[in-house]
Amino acid sequence: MFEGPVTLRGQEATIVWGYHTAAVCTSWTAARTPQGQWTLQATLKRADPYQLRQQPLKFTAPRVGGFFCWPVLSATLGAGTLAAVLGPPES
Amino acid sequence: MSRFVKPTEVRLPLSEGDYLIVKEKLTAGEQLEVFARLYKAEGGGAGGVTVGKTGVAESMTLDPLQVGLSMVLGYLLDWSLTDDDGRVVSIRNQPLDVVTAALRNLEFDDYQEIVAAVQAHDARNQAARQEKKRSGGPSGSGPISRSLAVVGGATNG
Repeated sequence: MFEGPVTLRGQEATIVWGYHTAAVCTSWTAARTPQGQWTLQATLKRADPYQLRQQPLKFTAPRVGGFFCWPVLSATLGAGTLAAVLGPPES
Repeated sequence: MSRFVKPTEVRLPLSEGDYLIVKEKLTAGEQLEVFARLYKAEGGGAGGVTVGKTGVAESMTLDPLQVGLSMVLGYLLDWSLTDDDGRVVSIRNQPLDVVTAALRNLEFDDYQEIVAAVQAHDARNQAARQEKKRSGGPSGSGPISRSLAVVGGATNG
């Protein structure tokens, strides 16, 4: 879907574990390095620390006509923030 | 076996080929929310609980409109129910007030069928938990070890 360095930003997004909403983001930035690694930085409205340690986690953000969706490979919870390493986008 | 609840979905059949998608099990937090929704606020108390000056709950008022509905809201994730144009009335990931509104706009018999299906599912869960306790599963009481103090001949008082 994307090639080369890319940065996407948005406001509303969620991280889900199954049917659970593990985190609700109020703003987020997803970036793809030239090497192809995706990372996520987000500020959080709420989060469930237990659910954020489970797998599989998905980061989903609305876009025109659907959703972006990345698998969350690892997530680090800060004070109202979250940093994560993402896999390749699924949609 | 883990005591934590995995987010597993289960399909419950309804009449006329319809179905519900529900949580296989509720987490402790979700079960507490089911209980809490049964009580309505009076006198400004949050969650239906009137709190006195000491900070202790003084009264709780059962909300008859939430009986049955609270459990359905706890379990229900999605369904196959459609509108007059045959489009599924989507409730997945919708806020509780949206799901509540959809349920309240059903014909009463259909609402009752959904409540009965979810209550039967919950009853099966309870029966499974009881069976697990009887068979000495994670929730049951295991054999009690002898006190090491007794083994060593010491006193503990």
